[in-house]
Amino acid sequence: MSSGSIAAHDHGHDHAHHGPTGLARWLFTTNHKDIGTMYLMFSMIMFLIGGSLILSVRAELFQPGIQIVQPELFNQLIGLHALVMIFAALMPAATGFANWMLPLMIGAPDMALPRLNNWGFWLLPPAGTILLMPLVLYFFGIGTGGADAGWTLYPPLSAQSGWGIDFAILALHLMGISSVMGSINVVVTILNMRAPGMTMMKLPMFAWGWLMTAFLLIATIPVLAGAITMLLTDRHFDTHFFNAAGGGDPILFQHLFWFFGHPEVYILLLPIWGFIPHILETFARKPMYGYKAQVWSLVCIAALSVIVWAHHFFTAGMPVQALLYFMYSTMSISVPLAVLFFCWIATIWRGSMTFETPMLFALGFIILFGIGGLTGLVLADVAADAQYHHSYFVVAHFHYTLFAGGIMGVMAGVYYWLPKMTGHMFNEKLGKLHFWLTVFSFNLTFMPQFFVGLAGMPRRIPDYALQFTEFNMISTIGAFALGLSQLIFVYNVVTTWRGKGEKATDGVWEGSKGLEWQLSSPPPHHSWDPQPVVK
Amino acid sequence: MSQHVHQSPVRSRQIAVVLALVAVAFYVGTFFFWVPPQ
Repeated sequence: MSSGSIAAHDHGHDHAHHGPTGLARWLFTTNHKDIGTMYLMFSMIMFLIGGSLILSVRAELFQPGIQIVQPELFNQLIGLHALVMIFAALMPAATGFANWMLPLMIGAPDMALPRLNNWGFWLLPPAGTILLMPLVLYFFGIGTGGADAGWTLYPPLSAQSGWGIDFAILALHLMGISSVMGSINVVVTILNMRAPGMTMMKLPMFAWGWLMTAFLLIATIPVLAGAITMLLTDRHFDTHFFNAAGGGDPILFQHLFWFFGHPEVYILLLPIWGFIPHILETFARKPMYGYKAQVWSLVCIAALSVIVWAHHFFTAGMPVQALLYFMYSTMSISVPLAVLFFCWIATIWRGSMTFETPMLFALGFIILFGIGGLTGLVLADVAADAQYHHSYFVVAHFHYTLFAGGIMGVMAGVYYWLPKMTGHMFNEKLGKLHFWLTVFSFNLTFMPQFFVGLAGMPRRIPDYALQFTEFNMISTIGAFALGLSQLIFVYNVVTTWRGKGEKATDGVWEGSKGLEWQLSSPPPHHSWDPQPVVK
Repeated sequence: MSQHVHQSPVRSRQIAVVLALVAVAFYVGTFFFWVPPQ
């Protein structure tokens, strides 16, 4: 493991660093920590914007009938919520962690390609602006509004929709290029910048998780880009890739989209599955259980994720043999995922556990993400999916996966590494309050959605039948509580970043292991210079 | 700083170029999944 002894390191000093200050520092920086900070800040801002969009939707769904949001705007809000949360909040958060922590954890002075790194980040703010601008203009009576075909952008709806789709296509291309550049940087850094003595099987689990993510991004983002390029030419240049009237096939778009879209779920989760074991071993004060089993599970999950895509549209129609293949291949992912779950549980089994905020979020992640995983198995069943497809059951399932598994995982990581990044401890009481409010309000929001989904309430609809009213009211109250409780998180992070908390030690946590904890808090400008030797 | 780095920056660029070419191949390859009308 990477926590092996270090033969030589001389990192207490910081080299004289005479770079630009102020805005220029952030604009031109090639330092992995500065770029990581910008990614994380961008992610947090977009998380708040994406959350605000969906609170408008939940306000509308508080009661049946149309009260606040007209259907045209409703469609924009749900589509942009998903696009913002996935591409501008969760993905940049993972890239922010990669930038900040990978060089520290593998004993590198910086990322391998620092200028590419800068470029990768600075594509994101324009992309986020382009994605959201049509919605803002819509409020001023300009244009047809933001992308209103859901995050999946299925034709024929997206082929006929207003200019928001064009803006979304451009934004997704930019974000895709950014992701591919970031991924190339991660792969090169892990393959070529490791400290002497750090073999691949001594890599921190976080590096393995990100390595798999990076390969998936390099293979699947270009397919999404190709599909939406075709969509763009269908819209404006009279091609007929997806236009049935011209001999095209709208189902082709679904295949291409989900060839990207399903691995995307693992792209969001693999980095988190990488650092959750580090958090568990730190606060259980035990070595990570089943290192090799976890590594090979991550590899298996990444490989399987690209061959299961069609379970997202079983109901679109395909041969029975294809249905069976995609059902069984999807279910087979539960095997390596179960290995990960059991390794996480075995890591904390009989450990000397303490329940600091990062550990609470990691444990909450395991339980709630477990519900997300198990309900995914239900949806993978072809016979059952015929009823559950496009219902609120699906919405509840993927929020247990992507909020409990994704956002709560990211929060575990933020609380875990924030003292290392800032040199200051966060407010533990506020952290715990944030955790309990998040867990309670999250379940209040999404548990009722399983029930209304099972009872037949369709998703992406601004109105609903009267019998769903009570559960929707509960869900809306939960959503506003969930949104408001995230302000505690923002306050805690910002005050810690401004140096309000007590000074953090180098190791920060009593049970911390790994190279990143051997550097000062915050780490010096050039992280490992010279590189350590891992035995 | 570079004199302290154990690994070669040339190799970094080579790996990056190969990965970029893989990404471009996947992008171009996507268009070949379209079957022209018979």
